[in-house]
Amino acid sequence: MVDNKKGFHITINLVMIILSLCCLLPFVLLVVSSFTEEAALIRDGYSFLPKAFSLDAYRYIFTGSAKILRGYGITIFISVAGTAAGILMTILLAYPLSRKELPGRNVISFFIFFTMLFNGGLVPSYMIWSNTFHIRDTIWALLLPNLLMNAFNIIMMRNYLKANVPDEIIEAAKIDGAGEFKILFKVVFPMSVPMVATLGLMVGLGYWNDWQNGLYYIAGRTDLYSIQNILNRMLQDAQFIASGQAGGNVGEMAASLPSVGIKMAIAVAGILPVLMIYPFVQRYLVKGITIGAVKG
Amino acid sequence: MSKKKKLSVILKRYWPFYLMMAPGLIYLIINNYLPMLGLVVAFKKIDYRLGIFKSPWVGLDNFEYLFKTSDAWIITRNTICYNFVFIILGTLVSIAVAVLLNEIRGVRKKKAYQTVILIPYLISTVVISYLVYAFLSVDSGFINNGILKSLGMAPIAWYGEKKYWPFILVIVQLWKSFGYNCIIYYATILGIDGSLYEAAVMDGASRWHRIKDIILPSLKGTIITLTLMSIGRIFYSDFGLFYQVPMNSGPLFDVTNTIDTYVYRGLLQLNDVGRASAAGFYQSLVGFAIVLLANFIVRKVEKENALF
Amino acid sequence: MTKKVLAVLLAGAMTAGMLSGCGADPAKAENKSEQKTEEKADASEKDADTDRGEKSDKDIVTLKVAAMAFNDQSLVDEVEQAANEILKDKGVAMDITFINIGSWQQQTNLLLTGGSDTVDILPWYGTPLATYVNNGQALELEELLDKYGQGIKEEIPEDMLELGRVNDNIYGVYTDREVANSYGIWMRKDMLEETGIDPSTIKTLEDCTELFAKVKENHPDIDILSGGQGGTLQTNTWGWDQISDANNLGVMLDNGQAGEIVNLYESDEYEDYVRLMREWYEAGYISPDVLSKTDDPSVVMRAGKLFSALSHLKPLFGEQQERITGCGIEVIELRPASLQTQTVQGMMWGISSSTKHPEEAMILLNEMYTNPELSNILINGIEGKSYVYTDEAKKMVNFPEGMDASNTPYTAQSWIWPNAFQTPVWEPYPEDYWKQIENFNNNALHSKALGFVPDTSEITNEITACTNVVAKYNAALMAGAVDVDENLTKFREELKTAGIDKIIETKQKQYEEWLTKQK
Repeated sequence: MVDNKKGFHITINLVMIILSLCCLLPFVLLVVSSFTEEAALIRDGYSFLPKAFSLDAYRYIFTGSAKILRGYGITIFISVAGTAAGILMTILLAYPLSRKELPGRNVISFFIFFTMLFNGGLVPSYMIWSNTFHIRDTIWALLLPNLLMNAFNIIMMRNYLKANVPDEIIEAAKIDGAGEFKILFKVVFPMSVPMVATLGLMVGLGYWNDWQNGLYYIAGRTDLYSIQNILNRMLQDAQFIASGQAGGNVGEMAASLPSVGIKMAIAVAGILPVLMIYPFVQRYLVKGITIGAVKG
Repeated sequence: MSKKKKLSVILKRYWPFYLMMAPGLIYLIINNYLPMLGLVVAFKKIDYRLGIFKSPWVGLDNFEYLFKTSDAWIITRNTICYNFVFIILGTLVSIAVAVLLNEIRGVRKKKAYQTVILIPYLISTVVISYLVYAFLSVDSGFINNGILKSLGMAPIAWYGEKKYWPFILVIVQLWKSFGYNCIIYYATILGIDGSLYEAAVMDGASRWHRIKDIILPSLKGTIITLTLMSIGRIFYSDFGLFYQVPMNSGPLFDVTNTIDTYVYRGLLQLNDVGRASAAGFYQSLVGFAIVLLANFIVRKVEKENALF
Repeated sequence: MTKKVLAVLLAGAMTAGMLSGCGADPAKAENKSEQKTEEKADASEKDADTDRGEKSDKDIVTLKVAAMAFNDQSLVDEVEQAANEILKDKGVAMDITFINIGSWQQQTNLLLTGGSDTVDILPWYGTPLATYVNNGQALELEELLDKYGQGIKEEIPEDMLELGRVNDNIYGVYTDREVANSYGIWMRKDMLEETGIDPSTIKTLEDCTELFAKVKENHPDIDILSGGQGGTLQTNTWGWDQISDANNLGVMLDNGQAGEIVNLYESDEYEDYVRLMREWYEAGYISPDVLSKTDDPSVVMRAGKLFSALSHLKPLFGEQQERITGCGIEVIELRPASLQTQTVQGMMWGISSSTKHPEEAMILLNEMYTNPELSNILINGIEGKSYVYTDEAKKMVNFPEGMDASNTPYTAQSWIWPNAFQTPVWEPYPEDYWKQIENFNNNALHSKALGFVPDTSEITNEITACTNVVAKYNAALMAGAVDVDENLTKFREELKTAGIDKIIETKQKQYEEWLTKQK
């Protein structure tokens, strides 16, 4: 029995290690390429053990006129603020829907799900956010459109609450004289920590990785660019030139645009901070998840 | 009881709930429903001078190009088939990994695996396309250069051979997305009532039985929800995956052209908002019909798990 | 924080209520501004007679100007200030928004949806001028040019001004830049000399075969030929007038001298070209990665892995490439310089149809086209900060010390702003650089369809279908990456099914009508 158990653990660890390698190795290739000398990349191809190292790509990114550090600051701010507000609004909306007695909950659920299927497209969204709410070229432009909450998260949260918060607990709290808001924040919220943590991670990553809001709603105020906007601008310019649409007027520019190595470095610069912060955040996540699980 | 009275009773009793939902619902109205008014563009010839609502109506003209082409069959087939495979394989792999993750003992190891499998999800599709290129490039790619060469095999012109791409696209999509779904399933597993589990262990249920009798049933709701939601977007495709990852390479079109890439290529120069939204409207409408049907079936079988 | 969000959302809900009746709003606003425009037109007509110098600050109208940029133009505030100092007595001021070139198309389309004054003046770029006009995004300029654009009319020859015409009005104003294109091949001089072949004996693409063979023999490990920007071998055109369609759906062959619009993909010229490329591809001259390569050829050459590339050419192109690649470069022109509608219309300044100040916008445009001092500021920035004069006569400029293209606070873009020929020349170009460009433009062969813009509104369905077919076959064929016999036949058949004949018929008919109107 003991041996069998040991064998099982070795097997699943082995599977997970192989899986992790599958995820990790391409990423390692990405990092290594970003440190490979450009000429070597073109001459010898991609390799995990490059013949010539170089920091040129990072020099290009960090010494350019773009304000990288400011970009990181903006990204951190919108990720934290957006996630907090988004998760709060999500649970506020999801909790009533998880209560079986709420009249009209199916209609409202449908109302929410419908937003996953149909969207008016970029131009109408832009006209509403930019021309009616005037968020263009403000920090709100990075926070409000699309990312704050979405039907997927609401429904996931609703299902979780439905399955994991027993009616008896709520009834008990009611008998104790607690109001609905108190029940939500004192009873339901602590029980939903695993889902809150998971969705919080997803929303946070959504904000961290987002470049579309900046692309659409930030026109002149490039000082509001998040790190992804700054990095993406380099990629986009390169792609545009490469597409040949620019015509013959940009020859000199074309040659000064990021090469493959720089593109890889750009990707690493976008991801690395998350990977560095993630283990620290995760410590609290795991703690929260275990507490939530025990209580349930 | 008259209807009016009933409403006031409901409000009196449930007002805290409606107050809780207000911010979220208002946000959805602004962010999602108001822009939907823009869907009228699909039936108009847009003239910015007149504005969206005053532009002339053109009936169904904007939809014509989606059907009057010999590619209509190919792009529809590709879109649906890929999504079908993505949904099935994606669900299987994510659940399997989530279950494995749950069986791992040791917080440190768990944390490490969790972090690592999320990495692909963090990389944007544009960068993934460079990564795929780093592996598949004929001249300098790792597979040709590092593997096939040392095995003494002839290099393969990956971007010119369409037979490989259904597999490449499925692998890339799985690689990119399984971490995300896995974490969602994992969170659901963590939420399973601990006492249920303890009881099963006490009863001496084998590991396999615990998985089969406790974990999988508890995932059913999540599986159905996630699947229903993916079905709603079955006529959509990830533009980056089908356009950037194959590097827009022409010889691969038979297996990489989807509705989204077809529309993008066709309208790039024309910049025709009307036709673009007509395509979106069509994709949504089909997805909507399929979801209604699927949800109806789920309701019949298991009311609990229906979306609405 | 949450409270604030809630407050915003509630305020939003209220505004949203108002918006539900927005169907009428844009039109109303439109009417109003039209009325205002008429009133103002009268007023400023009188104004025009009196001295504009007397205008007080209060009357100054600030116009939003958008333009493309590559890097952060952090000097933009100072540039605005300096420009507005010059513009003060004209009653206008500019507020410049730089948009990075990669997102230009997307952002301007959003800005042009109108609403709160987003943009008044901008270059029509990235999307064909005719598309902007078709969507109602561009303002008619003819009348405004007559009233407030006298300077522009004097500066720019009438036939060039006419090139901004789409249908019945002028929508864009021509700018001085390298508008003509010649095509050719540029290569490493050292490897060319090794072969002993005299470059002057190479007159056509076919002549290159022998040269390529010898270079390949000497350097078996490098790519012999690469394409233009981005590295893919598909040059949009190889000496035919594309008739304003990047996908060549209906072209005029022979540098636009053939006089009729035909199906390029059925032509011998095209078949010869792709067969030659296939021959080269099979001989190993072209990289097997050609379909997916994104590196610019100059970068690959700098790494020592490339011999030559096809490209658009312009005067002093070789010198430019020598600086970029660090190799000695030989340039051979294979197709003569020609002038076509779409290259001219590819970048023209115009006014947004949603502007509330059309007259002032034209007054500002007029200044941009006629005031060399203003042009110098807009193109080169501020003296001492983004450039310094390097000669007494102030004809030549260069970066201030310790600065280069990668860290300048203001990237000079002479091809974007009007009137570049009146501004100083950047070192190390020769002093007569602008003169050379001007001659190059003037000596270019004019396509017979120069000025003709097809109206595609009746053939949009066919165009979207054909565009997809072209995307499927053309790049691969032009790069020699696929078998010609098999794919060219399929290509032609699929184009026929997709309706290319109707496109060409329509364009040819419109062309004939346009021709009769010209006489």
